[in-house]
Amino acid sequence: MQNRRILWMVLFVFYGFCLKAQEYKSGVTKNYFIQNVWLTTSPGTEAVLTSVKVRDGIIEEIGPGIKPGFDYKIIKADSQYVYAGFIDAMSHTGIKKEEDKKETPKLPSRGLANYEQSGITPQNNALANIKPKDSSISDLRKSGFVLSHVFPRGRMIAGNSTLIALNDAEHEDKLVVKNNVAMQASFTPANGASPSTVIGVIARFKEFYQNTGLAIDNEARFAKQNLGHKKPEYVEEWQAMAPVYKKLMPLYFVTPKSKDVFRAVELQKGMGFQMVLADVQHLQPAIDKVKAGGYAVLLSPQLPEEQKEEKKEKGEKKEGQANADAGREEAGKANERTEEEKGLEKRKKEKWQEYLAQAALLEKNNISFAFSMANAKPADFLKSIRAMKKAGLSEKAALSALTTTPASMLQIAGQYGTLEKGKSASMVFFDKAVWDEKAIIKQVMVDGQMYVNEEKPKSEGKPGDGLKLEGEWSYTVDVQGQVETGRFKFVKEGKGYSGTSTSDANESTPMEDLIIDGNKVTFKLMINSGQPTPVTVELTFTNDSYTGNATIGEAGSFVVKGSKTNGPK
Amino acid sequence: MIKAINFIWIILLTLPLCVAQKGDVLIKGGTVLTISQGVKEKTDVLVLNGKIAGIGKNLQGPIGIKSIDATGLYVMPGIIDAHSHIAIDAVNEASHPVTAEVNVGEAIDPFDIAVYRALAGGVTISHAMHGSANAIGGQCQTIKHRYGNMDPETYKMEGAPRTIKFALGENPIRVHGEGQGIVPRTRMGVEQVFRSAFSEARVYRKSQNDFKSGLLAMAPAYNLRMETLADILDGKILIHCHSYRADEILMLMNVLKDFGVKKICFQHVNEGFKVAPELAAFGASASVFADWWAYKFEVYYSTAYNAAILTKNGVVTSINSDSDELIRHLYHEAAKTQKYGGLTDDEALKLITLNPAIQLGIDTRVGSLEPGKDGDIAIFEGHPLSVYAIPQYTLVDGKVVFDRKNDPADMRLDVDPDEKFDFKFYERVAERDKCMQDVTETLFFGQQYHNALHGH
Repeated sequence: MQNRRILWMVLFVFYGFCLKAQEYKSGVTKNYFIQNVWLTTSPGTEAVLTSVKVRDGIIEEIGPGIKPGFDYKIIKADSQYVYAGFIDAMSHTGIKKEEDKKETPKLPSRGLANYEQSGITPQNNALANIKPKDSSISDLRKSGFVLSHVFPRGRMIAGNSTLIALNDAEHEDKLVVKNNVAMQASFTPANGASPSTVIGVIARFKEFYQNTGLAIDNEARFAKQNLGHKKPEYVEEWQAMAPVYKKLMPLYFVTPKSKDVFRAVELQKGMGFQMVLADVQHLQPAIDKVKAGGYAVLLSPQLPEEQKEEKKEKGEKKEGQANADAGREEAGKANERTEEEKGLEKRKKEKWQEYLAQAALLEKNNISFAFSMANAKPADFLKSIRAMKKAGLSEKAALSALTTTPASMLQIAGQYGTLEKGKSASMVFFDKAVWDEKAIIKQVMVDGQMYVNEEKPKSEGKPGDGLKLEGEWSYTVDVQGQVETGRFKFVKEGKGYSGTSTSDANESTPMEDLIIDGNKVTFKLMINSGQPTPVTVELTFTNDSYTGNATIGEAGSFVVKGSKTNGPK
Repeated sequence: MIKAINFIWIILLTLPLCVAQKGDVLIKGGTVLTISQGVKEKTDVLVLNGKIAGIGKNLQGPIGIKSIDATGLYVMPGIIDAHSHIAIDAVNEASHPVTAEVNVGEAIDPFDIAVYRALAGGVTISHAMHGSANAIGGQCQTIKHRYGNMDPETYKMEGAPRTIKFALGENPIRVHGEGQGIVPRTRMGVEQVFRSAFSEARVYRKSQNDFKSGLLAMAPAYNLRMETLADILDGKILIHCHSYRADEILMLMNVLKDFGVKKICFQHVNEGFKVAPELAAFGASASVFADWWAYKFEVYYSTAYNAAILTKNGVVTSINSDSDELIRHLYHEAAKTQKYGGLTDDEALKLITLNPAIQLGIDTRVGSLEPGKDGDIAIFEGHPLSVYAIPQYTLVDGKVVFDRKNDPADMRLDVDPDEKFDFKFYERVAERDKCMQDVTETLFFGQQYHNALHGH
């Protein structure tokens, strides 16, 4: 017996050596020495200039005077700003959105929908649906995230979640931090079956939850092996929901607006499950009930669009268009809003401000909150958080919501959320402090593995010697007798250019697929004239003017002309 | 001044008004139409903590009480609409001929501007109903128009009895029989839907009782639909049934007799005049339109004398709106019964106050101006049955929730920050009853059209 144990130990150690040897063979060290960075260890602390030693995915040491060992790869991240990697508290990262089924499923008869058809699928698990090489994983990582709490896509009760690390493993199992973390519910009706409305969903939810409880009770009765107890009915969905009923697993209720919040709160009060309000955009009217119920909140950083009116004001101030031509002023007068219209616009603007201030409101009320990336664009999310900060959210609370709070919610605060000795080496590197509007993420480390954000120029090619593209150019395009005017703006960004097209009605659209070849420039725009319409523009420049054509959707090709109005000539 | 008022409103609206507030007010010197105790000239009405504390001459309230000078104005109980679909986010769960398990009270929309518009017509309470797509539809909710509160729960009239929507005739036949090829395909089928649902509920209730008493060892599955139906059989829920034809009205009364159900209010009941004595004998009440018909085949045989005939036969009758437009002038609708049927002022006003209150089981609380009742009051310039009547103030629980002179122009509570205004083009949607909301597109253009429109 003793001998066998020794044999096992020897084998185990030997096996371990083999593994190590294999890894070193691949030529990648797992040890990093990150030199001279401004490190913020946890929200609310000052950034200090220091170095970090990372060994096998774990922070080994932090300090200004520490030295690397011989097998450390040295990363000269001089003066970069480093924070604990962000944690996405809810999303569908790695899971492709199913194509909307065009045809409604034919059911044998309405109302007889089974659980699956009704959108009750608590047995669905995220991991089974995650594609490890899906671009959403790297997109989220590029935006500073190291972990994502992934739920399967679904309807009323979508299924249970997997917490994944955003690495580039080949197999989904290698992403898993932990599995079966939480359940997700929403007020989404079924597709072509019962329930078809929010009232149907609530009724079905209540009934399903009640039956889950009865199944647990019946199982307990059966386990006592008394006479007269026939075997309890086994239903997969009840089994899967049981941990929620027993309060062992939290229920993330998707509640974008205050009405959803009120409805979820009523359900929770009646049933007592552990609830997190998820993907919230606006909950202000319900704030007292949220506070009283002690619910945690996941805010969506997907904010309503900023109003055009405000952009115009800002634009005018910034550029000080003293030379705005008289024609445009005339047009402005004709478009002047009535008092009623101004009133409506004002309320819209106030509401928009209120949306921005939701995070600050939660902070003020001491409600624990994190961010859900389920319906947010990773590339825009920091911009949203900075806007929330302007609307009153403190830096400490903002950073907590991205790191420590989700770590606690997911019960991994011992390993993630702050940068300390012994914790996971999961961090994000900025070129400036994170709240600086211009800060860019240079690299992200996930469990000790470094991913560098490559700077990609926004345009291809470069202008010829005579062409000074940078600046503003007017445009005039004659679309079947209707003359549209506006301006193109080109900005030099790093190695390339970016551009926007702004109509005189102040509809601003970014240029896509910008290609510059000598004095020829082509780009694409997506304009909205009732419905999104693609426009392809091809311009040929001569000194300070250009001509070309614009192909507008199916409508045809039209002549575009213009000249430089602002910028180096 | 207007700016100051707007400012006050913004402050009021941003306060977290989670608890419906009750008000104190003294309404001085109006012509008080009590409904139950005649008309009292130059009389004061005192409301304290949301309840009517006194009606009489020279009443005094506590120092600093809000006072409304009603000299030359008419003061009447808040109007009650026994059939509407405002302030709810879902009307028809049309996925089965029986959907007793759903409850529109679980999807109240406190931001619905239609509530404010109803207040502008003196309506303080409405019966937010499930639609008429199913033979047995969902449960309804009696709501108080406490506009300005953002918590849906504050709209529910506390203590109001539970009610449920039933429907006869063409709607359930079209949606389920013609639409899905299932029972009910005919009017006979509709009857069988009721009979089998009630029978099933009896069996269900027995098995639940058997478990409770220990006859069954294992708990039977919980069925919210059957729970609700069993509650109807136990008399815990009032039925409000969408109906037009006399033969079907008699049919449902026979079904209810067989199952021992006593309480029912027939809605629309356009052929009620044909079976008025039978309705009275059963103890059924009727909630009708003043003069709205011919919008589908079964609604051609109608008369504007319906309300008067039912009233004269001793049937408790009300006039309802079923529309967020009609709800703004129910007093006009009531006045039509004086032209068609010669009802007295009190009889006509009862159609929109005390009688709907009786039908909703809330007549001990509202429907007339009496000490002890709720301070739900509408104040008119001109007699409310006059074509020149203009509502001036509407109060719910003693709080002014509509003030014609002082309310700002934009009374919306919720604004969509993504809303696109197009001031040049305003599409006017034709007015129609909302009973078939959520199902008509599906019905006439198919599920695909519905999906394309609603994205689900």
